[in-house]
Amino acid sequence: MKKIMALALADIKNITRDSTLILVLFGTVVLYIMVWFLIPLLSALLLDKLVFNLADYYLLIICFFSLIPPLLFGMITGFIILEERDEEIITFIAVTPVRKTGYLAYKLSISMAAAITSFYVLAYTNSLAHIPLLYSFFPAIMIAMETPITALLIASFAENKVEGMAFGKLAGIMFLAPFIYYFVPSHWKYLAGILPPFWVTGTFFTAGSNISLYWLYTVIGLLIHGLVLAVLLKIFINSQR
Amino acid sequence: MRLLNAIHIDITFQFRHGFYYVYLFISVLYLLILFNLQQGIRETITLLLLFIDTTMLGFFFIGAIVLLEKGQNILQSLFVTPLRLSEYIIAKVISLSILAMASALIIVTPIHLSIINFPVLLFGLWLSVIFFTLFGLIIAARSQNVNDYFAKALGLGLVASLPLAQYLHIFSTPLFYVLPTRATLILLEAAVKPTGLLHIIYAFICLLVWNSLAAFLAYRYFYRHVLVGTGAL
Repeated sequence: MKKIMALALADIKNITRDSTLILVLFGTVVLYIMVWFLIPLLSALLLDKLVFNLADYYLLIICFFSLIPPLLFGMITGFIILEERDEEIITFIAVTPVRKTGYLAYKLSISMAAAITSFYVLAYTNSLAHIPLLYSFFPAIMIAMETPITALLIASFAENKVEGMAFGKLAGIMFLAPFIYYFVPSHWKYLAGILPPFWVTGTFFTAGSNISLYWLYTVIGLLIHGLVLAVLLKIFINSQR
Repeated sequence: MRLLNAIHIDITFQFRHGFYYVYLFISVLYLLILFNLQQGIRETITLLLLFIDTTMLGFFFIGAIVLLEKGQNILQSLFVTPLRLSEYIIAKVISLSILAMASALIIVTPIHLSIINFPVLLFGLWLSVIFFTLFGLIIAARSQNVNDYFAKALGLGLVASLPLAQYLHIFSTPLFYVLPTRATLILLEAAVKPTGLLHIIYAFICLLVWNSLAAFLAYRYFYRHVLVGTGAL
């Protein structure tokens, strides 16, 4: 516990020194403002001017917005890891009792906790749409797992920050999954199942309506998330100096 | 010649770091999606993608590029060579805008039949890409690390994106006309639907003014906050 506290203290110092925390807070707040105020406003305008009912897409919008914090936090964590690797901080921590696995577990669990929190706040303070609370646990777990997936995608493969940006851009493709799930009618859409958020979307649209399908999507989703995460973890642990 | 070399090196660097592969992949993905959209909505979404992805390409990458060069002390060695700061900046801007324009050419193919003014689209996009790259350079000059750059870029990028509200018919105010992004959106729209000449002229002037200002500030900030620190003077 004391070891973890030391790491946390160092992080808090770092966070106040640069604007990472501002980025996290600001990004999340912008998201909240959008679901609280802008989407309802846009919805009323569209209905009024174009007779287009945005309300039909509320669940899709909430699902899409729920995926933004894990990607944002994942990218931030990924870049912190890259930065600390460049500065050889990871090498230092690796020789302390915390070890490299402890360092990684700490970094990733903090960002996962942040993702879960932001998901529940986003999902249950908006007046647009939500999935039954009873069925929210597994989607929340999957959403949280996307944070380390994004972080490790950047930290494992990128040689430096510039490549990190390129991989971050690539990770953005995961945002397409909800739209593919929703708009592609044929069974071809299941090809997008290699994108973890596809299954999160699946659980969103079956929770409370088609329970057997919900559980099927949950099991497959957890397996896919676990598998991707395990592979990335292995690559990261092995690739480091 | 020096400038051409610098551009060549920047492009090689971007190629090696996978930019071209990533953008080829993403552009083709967009292409597939756009081809599957209905005719009516296709133009709107295409222009939206050009605005949020293509024009901001330089904005997205320049921070990490400059911070990496700063961190690896590349700038120290670079500026003891005859390379001038202005050439360094121009090379960055040109190299990233080549990638952005290539990606734009792929993305517009699904709507090529509706484009009535291709030169306006091309020049409008190009000027916007240049603006955002310079804007990124200004922010990068004062950033400590990538997350710091993100935070500043996100805040300023959101302000710059406000004219999207007018594009989406949510809200409009004459104040938007001060922003370069309003001009970008006017030129993007002018590519697919008839627009008054006055509007087009305003948009080009607006972008040129903003680009000059951004170029001036980028040079100055870079000189003050980056060059002085490298000891290359």
